[in-house]
Amino acid sequence: MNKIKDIFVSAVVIRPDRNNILDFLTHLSDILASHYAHYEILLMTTELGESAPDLDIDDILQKIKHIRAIKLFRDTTDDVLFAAGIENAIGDIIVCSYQEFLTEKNVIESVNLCCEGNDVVSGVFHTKKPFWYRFGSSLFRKLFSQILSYNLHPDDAFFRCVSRRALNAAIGTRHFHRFVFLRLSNVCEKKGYIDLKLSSDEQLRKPHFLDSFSRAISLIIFNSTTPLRVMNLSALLVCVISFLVAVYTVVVKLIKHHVVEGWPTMMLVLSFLFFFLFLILAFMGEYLVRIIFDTNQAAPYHVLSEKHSSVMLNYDELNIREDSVSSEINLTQTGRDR
Amino acid sequence: MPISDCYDIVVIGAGFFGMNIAEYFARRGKKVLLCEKYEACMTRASYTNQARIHNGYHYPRSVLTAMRSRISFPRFVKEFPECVVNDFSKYYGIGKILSKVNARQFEEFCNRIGAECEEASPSVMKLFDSHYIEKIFRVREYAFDSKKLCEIMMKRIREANVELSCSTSVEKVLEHNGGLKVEIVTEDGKYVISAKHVFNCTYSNINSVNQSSGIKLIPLKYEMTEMALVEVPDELKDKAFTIMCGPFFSLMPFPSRDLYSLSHVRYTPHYEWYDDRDKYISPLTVCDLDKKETAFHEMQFDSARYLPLIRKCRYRDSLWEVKTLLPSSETDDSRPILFKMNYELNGYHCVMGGKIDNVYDIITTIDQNKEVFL
Ligand SMILES: Cc1cc2nc3c(=O)[nH]c(=O)nc-3n(C[C@H](O)[C@H](O)[C@H](O)COP(=O)(O)OP(=O)(O)OC[C@H]3O[C@@H](n4cnc5c(N)ncnc54)[C@H](O)[C@@H]3O)c2cc1C
Repeated sequence: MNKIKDIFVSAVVIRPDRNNILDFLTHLSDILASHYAHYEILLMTTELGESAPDLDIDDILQKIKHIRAIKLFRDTTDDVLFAAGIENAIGDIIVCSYQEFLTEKNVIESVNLCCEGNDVVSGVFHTKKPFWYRFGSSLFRKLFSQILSYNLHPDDAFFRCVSRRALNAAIGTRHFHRFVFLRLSNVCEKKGYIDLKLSSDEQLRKPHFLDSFSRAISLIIFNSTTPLRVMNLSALLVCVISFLVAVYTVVVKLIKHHVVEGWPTMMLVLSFLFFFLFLILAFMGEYLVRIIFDTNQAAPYHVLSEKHSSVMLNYDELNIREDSVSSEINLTQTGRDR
Repeated sequence: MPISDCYDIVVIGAGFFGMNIAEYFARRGKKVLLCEKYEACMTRASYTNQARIHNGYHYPRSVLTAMRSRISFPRFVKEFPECVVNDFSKYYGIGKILSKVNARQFEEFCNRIGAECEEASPSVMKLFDSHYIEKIFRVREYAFDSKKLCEIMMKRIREANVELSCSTSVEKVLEHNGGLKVEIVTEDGKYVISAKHVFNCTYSNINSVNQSSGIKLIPLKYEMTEMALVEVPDELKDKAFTIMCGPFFSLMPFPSRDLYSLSHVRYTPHYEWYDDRDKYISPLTVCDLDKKETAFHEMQFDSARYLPLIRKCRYRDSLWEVKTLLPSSETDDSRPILFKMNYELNGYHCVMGGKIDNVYDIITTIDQNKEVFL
């Protein structure tokens, strides 16, 4: 029999899959109950469109204990769902991912690593990604990893096990909901990694080009002003060049008498200048859009409803211990700082 | 001086835990002797504490401790109505900086354990510096008058026919003819009595009895603690505050002295230590020898950052006690009861009380194992 660890673990399931949800949750709650003294499971869903039926939450809540189901408004990204999930969890240690990654091995291994003092344990999943993804990702890392303090693993998967102190520190940072993974990785003292195993018959969600592209652009725009500075410098440089070209044109005009000869040069210079001008304008425009977004004081997400199981606590357990010291390692220190 | 030299049960320490255990056995027809080192009962930790009847709010990081307090609260309030003080409004504030929980998590936690909490009125919120405080909640938490609690317990043990021997220090517990031999020192001299079961309920002094009996020490952590007793300004009368969670303080009525007690996570514990078998010194002696230099000003200044009116509090006195904690509670701030049944000797049981109102858990556990004792 397993030794039950005296900790509170929250497992957060992002967009649970309707088809085998009951089996999955029964299995997950068995795993948690057999390893941890206290646990809860949070189901993070969004309101679906007319065509797709919602999960039968009430049925789940009746059948399985310790479940909380939080439903957010429709247009919420998975990252924001993730952030909302871990933020609303109350455990000392929070494991959060898609259903396919919340297997017994992944949960236990990551919680153990977290207890050993790794404030954030990331799941790594080695899979063959499309060419465009590999190319784009390595280019992005080469260009921006330094300036953005971007230190996520190349095979980083949508899986985290986080200690309460790391979470509380990350919650206070700017744009926590939008860049939850980066923020978590930047606040922790010590990080851990686990190789994820998929539950056998599951299919991994594939990256979408548009999603990845927009994520990369968001990361750059929200986390650094360096690209803007580079663009400003380029604009300055192009100004100098265009000035020199103007001087050159005047000099040519003074020395040579055939004006027609300068026509191709003029065209070249003009198109060159306009190219840069528009590039700069595009970037500035992008920044302006983000600033407008940013100054918009709307909440990062809206909760549509929250329901929970009728049984959430074990009322029969007495607050008695037979040993004054614990043989388990737990360095997550949710008690007083020392 | 004990009347007899043979008992079914000897309980060492007439604090709240010892008195409850003694009463439990006496009511079941056992011959019980309750030994107390000092002249009166409940003069140590059961008196020198913050007098809070916990309702769970204090432990957002230990659900079990919170939940047990939550469950015991109504029972305690019903059982000891004479000592319950509830003529004040209790507020829990969530700190913004360095706090280990945020307001949303606290609210969620209260809902979860079923503890009432609602946002405080703007007039109360105004008492606080909003730079440091995220939110204030009005909650249902009471205080107890430990003198009245002691009077009730005295009556109950008398009615149950517990033999109480004050000014009686238990020095040693030894195995003897399949039972136990207990060496006691009273004002009249030394005595040896025999008992089938001995309960060591001496809180910080548990290991003192173990050490002199040649029994292995239980790993425990001690903190020399100070709670300042103050008079509060009119604006704070009829109110009590606790700021959570991490660096925090508590200002609670202390009914048995008609004052308020101020405690602070950083300044209430003055220093801490662990037992050392070779250089053992009883925590009660450490407490007696302590210089007792107050840290009231530090408590007051830090707390006033959150609640500026605390500057108007007038210091009257301090209560000093050795707080005893389980090393295992360090990671999550839980306060369970330690119960070591048949610890090293058959029939010798050690009980270290975590919270006054959690006493029911130890009685339930003893009752569940009654075939061992009765
Ligand atoms: C600073 C502080 C604040 C606290 N605040 C709260 C609070 O707000 N609410 C709450 O519920 N709990 C609080 N507690 C915890 C609570 O006070 C204790 O859990 C509880 O009082 C323990 O009761 P007890 O009977 O085990 O110990 P005690 O009341 O200390 O009783 C032990 C008794 O054993 C006697 N004794 C010791 N050695 C011997 C010996 N050799 N022979 C005979 N007798 C002996 C002592 O004289 C003493 O009377 C606080 C504790 C501290 C220290």
